[in-house]
Amino acid sequence: MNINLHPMKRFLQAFITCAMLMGTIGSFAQSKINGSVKDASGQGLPGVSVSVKGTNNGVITEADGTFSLTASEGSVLVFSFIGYESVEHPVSGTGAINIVLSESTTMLDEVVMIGYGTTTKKELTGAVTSVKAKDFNTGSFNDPIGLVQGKVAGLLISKPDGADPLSGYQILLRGANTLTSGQQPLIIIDGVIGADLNNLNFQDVETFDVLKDGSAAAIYGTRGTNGVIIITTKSARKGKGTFEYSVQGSTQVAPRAVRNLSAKEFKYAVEHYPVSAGPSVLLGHDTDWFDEVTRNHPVSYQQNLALSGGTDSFSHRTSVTHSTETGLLADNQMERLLVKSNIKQKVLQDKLTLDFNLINNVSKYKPANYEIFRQAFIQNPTQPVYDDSDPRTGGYFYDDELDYRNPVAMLKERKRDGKTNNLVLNMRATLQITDGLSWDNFISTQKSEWEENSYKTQFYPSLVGTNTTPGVAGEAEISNGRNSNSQLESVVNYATSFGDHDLQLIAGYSFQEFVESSSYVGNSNFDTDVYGYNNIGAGSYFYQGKGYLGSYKQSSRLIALFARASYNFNERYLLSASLRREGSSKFGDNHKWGLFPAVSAGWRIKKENFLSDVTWIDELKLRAGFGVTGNQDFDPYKSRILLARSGSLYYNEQWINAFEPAQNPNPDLRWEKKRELNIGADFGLFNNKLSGSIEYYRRKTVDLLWTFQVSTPPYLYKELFANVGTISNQGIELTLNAQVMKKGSFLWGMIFTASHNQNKLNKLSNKEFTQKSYEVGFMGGTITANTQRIEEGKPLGTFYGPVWVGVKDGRDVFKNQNPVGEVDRDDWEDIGNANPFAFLGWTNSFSYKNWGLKFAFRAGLGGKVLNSYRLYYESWKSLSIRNIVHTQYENPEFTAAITYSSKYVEDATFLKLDNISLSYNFNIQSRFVSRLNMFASAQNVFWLTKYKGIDPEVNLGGLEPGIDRLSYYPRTTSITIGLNAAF
Amino acid sequence: MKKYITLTTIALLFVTTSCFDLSEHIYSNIPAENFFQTEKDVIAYAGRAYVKLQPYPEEQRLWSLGELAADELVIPTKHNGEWYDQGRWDDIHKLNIAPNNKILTQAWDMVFQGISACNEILSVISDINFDNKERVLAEIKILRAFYYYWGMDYWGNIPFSTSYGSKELPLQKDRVFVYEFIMQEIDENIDFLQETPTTQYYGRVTKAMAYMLQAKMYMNAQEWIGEDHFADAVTACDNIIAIGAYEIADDYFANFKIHNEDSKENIFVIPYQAQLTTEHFYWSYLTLNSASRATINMTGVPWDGFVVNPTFFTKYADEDLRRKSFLFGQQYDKAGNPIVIDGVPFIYTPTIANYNSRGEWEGARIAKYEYQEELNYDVNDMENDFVLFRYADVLYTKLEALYRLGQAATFISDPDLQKIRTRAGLIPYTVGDLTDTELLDELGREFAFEGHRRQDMIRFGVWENAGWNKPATTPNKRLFPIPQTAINTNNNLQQNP
Repeated sequence: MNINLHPMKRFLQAFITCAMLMGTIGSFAQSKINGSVKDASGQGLPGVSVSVKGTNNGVITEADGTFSLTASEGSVLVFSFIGYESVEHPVSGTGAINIVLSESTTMLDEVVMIGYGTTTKKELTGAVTSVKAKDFNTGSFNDPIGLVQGKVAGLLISKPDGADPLSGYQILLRGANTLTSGQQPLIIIDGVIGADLNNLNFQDVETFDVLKDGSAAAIYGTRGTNGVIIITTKSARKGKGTFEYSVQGSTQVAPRAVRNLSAKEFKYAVEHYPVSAGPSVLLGHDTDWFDEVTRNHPVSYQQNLALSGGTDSFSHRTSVTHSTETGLLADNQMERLLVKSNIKQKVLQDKLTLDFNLINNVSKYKPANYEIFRQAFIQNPTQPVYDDSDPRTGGYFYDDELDYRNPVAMLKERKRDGKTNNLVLNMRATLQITDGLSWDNFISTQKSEWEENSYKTQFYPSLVGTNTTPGVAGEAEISNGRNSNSQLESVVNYATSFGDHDLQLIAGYSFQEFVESSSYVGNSNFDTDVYGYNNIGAGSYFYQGKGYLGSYKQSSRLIALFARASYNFNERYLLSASLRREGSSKFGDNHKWGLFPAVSAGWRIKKENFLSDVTWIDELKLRAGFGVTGNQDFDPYKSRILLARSGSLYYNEQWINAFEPAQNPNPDLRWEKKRELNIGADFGLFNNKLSGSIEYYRRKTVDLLWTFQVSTPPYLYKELFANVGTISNQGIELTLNAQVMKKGSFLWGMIFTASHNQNKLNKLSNKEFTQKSYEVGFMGGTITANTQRIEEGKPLGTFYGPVWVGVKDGRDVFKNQNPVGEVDRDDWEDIGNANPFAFLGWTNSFSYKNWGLKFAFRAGLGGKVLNSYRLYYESWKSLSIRNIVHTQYENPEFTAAITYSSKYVEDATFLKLDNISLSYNFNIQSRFVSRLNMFASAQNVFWLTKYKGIDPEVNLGGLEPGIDRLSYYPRTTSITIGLNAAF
Repeated sequence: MKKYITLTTIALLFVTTSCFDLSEHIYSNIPAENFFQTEKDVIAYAGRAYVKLQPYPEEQRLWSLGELAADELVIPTKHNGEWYDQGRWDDIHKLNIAPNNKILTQAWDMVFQGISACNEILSVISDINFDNKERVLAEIKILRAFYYYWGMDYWGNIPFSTSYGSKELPLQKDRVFVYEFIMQEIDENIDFLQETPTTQYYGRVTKAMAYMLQAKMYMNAQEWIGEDHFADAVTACDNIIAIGAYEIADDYFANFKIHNEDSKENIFVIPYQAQLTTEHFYWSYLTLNSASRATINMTGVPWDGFVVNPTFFTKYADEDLRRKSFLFGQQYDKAGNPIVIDGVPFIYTPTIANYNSRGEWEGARIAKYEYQEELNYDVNDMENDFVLFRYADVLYTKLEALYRLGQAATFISDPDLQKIRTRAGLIPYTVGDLTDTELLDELGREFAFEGHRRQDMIRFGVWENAGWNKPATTPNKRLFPIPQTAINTNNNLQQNP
């Protein structure tokens, strides 16, 4: 039998070859092949190239991973997709071919966006981290940046405003590099520089590329200092029409608010401890104020519909998202309708590619007043919510105490809402002049309009009792504004190879203009509360001279020329250099333009002969880069002499308006410049089962902008915005990707990130500005202390205060205390810094057959956080009509008045389970449904910390990091169930 | 071919002009270079030198610092803890002032921002031609001299600069230097100033104002530069008398009424308008208790802090009509009915039982300036024009100078001088009545709360004496400390001893 088969096989092969040859002429003896390509988790893979080996015949898989092509029996199909191992599969019979592609562990050919172009991971010379969809966090996100929380070493993504559906994430990269300018990385979405993350639904994101170091970010010149996040969205792709639908519903559970005393505990405290209140504050009720102002298990949902398809020369993708997010605070809500449409067309014999994008994002929202949570905290729990004894209060219990307001009345007697309408339109035209030469033109406009309205009725606590005749004391406000961001870019791209040399050149021009305008009006004393804010002229404040209105408009421009050359020899020695010359209208006439150069190099040691036999090393590359970036994220006109009204004077028997310069002009205003050196290594070991990179960086920002106190004269006013200081950051980052286990259909993957950053303010003074230290972190009211200092030689966020030793006889005891029991300001010490020593991220993903499980931990090690609630309310003395924190009840020995000290500056170390999700892929053999997937996830599941407040992960941006403020939004755990289907 | 070159040139021109244009577009502010279009604009620009005077009588400025440090004004902490304000008022009262005291700092800022504004105005408008340029320049220069007069009076050793545009930090100059500068500025500019105080020149620097400033300098020359210039002071006063346009009003309070612009006694005032002036005159808020709202039909709720020093109050004889500068005793509503609050008659007591815990209605209140109706902070403020110099001051300055020269007899029977006493319901002075104590007390009574008291007490040598709830002090307390912010920003400055 065997012997007989041999000639048979040969004959068959010959036949097939013939058939294939014929196939190129006609389609003789060919058959239509259908099939699908999935990843290890069973998810359909779109965009996979399916080709018949040795021919030009090929297709790309649809959005659901299916494909169909004609091929002859016996031919071999090659399935290849970036990031996955290629698979070859022979054609036999007409049955469906179902392929599972496993992720490539090498990822060396993975495409990385580097700004005005792409490169591959192996050719990269800067510190760029690319995160693809498979590594995203699972769940539902109001801000797409949540997808990569904990995934990029050195990129700190946190949510200091907790569960507020209107609040986004705070994003910080490699420490604070500026004092006055913005600290947020530059966001680029599909080429739009400075794009708004709100205009993007998280499900439309394909990849994130984070340009971390100066050599990578310098191509964005004046805006590269805080790093650059390039987001690429899902775009039009050829293939049969596909319809994808997803829906997620979530609810919030386990709300965490600052704990105060219950009615029972409050009563016990009044009766047993040396509180400031007498028994008269016990009003006999049992009110849970937090419960009164919050929703139980607020439910949010989101639906997304995407339609895509097309041919080689014309394809489209449109996605529509509708979401309603409901906050914990009873009136807090956000509703959004987002339409994103992309059309790609090739014309002029495919030489010219046109790429149109349209995004319309309409939202309506009701913002949260964080003060309500504080009022709910301090409110006397034995006090009723309602009391109709006084008609002036509208039926709410009312107490005329300073800064003490019924939070239920604050919630119900104020109507406040807002809306935004954002429109993004852009077009990219790429002309392929020759094989290696292309010319790319991009024109974009992003317009947004917003409006916010508020009406406080006469029963709003701060207005009670202020009714004057005629009319009621209601207070209406309307404000609105428009912003636009217009961009024009033209880039020439040239790539060539000769022998072992690869060269890529780009050169371009960029123009961007920002215009911002706003207006507002406020009025009070209306005929009735019925109008709300809708009849703002009906109030009487204008004719009493107390109404207010105003408007404002500003604009600024950025213009740049830039170029980059990347060269590599044999993919072994890599070199890249870029230069951007950029000008900003915001700067002084003497310093409009700045030069931002960068250079970086890489050496792929693995390519050297001496490593070729070392089989356990698959990749080893050393990189080094240096780059200069700037920061210009502050208001325009700072360098100018602008005149403003300075009041009126009586002159020549009449009142005339006087004018004066509105500020001290600084014609020398110039760029803050950051210089950064980055040294990194990329590696792949043990068959690429373990890969990763290590980065070390030193960054120094010079010409730091700061508002200095100056002498009058010579200056007109006491403040001058000037370039003086120097701030530096240095740190290390580690990223590890590991395939821990792969057994049959069981897969276990892991991502681990770690980062450490050391910040230091080197200088903030010079010959002209001699002050070396500034007091910040002011805590007002009963505390009145500056809790932090900005001081030369110290990192930002350094707490200064008396060192607390313990409690004796009911009083705090401090180190170096004077006879009165206080510590002189000069004896205050450095009592810790807000910035953690290190951040860690640890993601695990498991898949088994149709099941997938993922969980992500994040940790901050070290760092201090100031617990404001303890600082203001951890004392029996603070218990008057006002409630106090529960920690006092637990440790009742302290009876004195509170003074600020290290007692309230706590360790901020935490471990958080950010995210856990379980997903299941249904095996669908339906003509209509090609993919069906369900998941359940929980976000913000739990955290472990010694911190006595709710969450030690507070705002770490700005000049006063690490202060857990009294005005806060509670934390919740959100549980999401979702379904994704493709048709 | 030529056509293409032209086209390319045009295209290039377009590229170079618009594609690289980084000039700023300004919408809701005025760029300075477009401002000076008319003469009126020059005045609007120069006029802010006057606007910088307007904060003077606010609660945290020069006036309150001087009066609180002297024996006229006290701001005791109230029984409910209000007006404690980290002890900053008490520190001034006891002359125990830290360099970071907020009132001290704001007083300094008012003076030196005024000086800086004058320097800047002079440097800008010197290059522009306009009518009456010399007179306007002279007015600004005398105003600057006036700010320097305040600066040297309060702080003695002060940063000195007359230019604008350089970043050079000013050097610290002593009183001798600043004294010379002020006198020279007056000498050089007085001839350009308006002599007859027509209504056109109301609220502006005139010849009489400059002579009065000169007289003040001479009167204090002994203290400030160690020289005796009393005879020169008499000459300066005589120069004002010689103008012949000023007279002693029949009614003392006519100088302080809401519409005091028709007073022929006032020489130099800061005019206020309820809505237009952005800095305000609001003594009603500083001093009145909220129960007084009924008396003047006040719309807003006053802050109840500034009260009359109980010892100073006793300096007035019962029949002295000028004591009506204060509210004390039973208070009446607009209709004249006694005010009773919760069954208790509303009485301001001139005495204060406990300095550290002032009762609600303790302390006499300031009512020298007539209060208009419906006063409301920041909405409807006092329209009385604040009097800086008036003719009675000219005559009393002359009297004091002659007294010090031993020549009081030559002036004592001057009818205008006597009218100051008689309109107060008192008998005129004879030479025998004049003693240091009597003269200082009379200056206090006549010019109470007009910002004179500190200078007078120092000149009469009683500044260091103990007072009501105030221990005796050392002579170095005649100067205020230089604010910390000023020392921090100018390393040429040495703190006062």
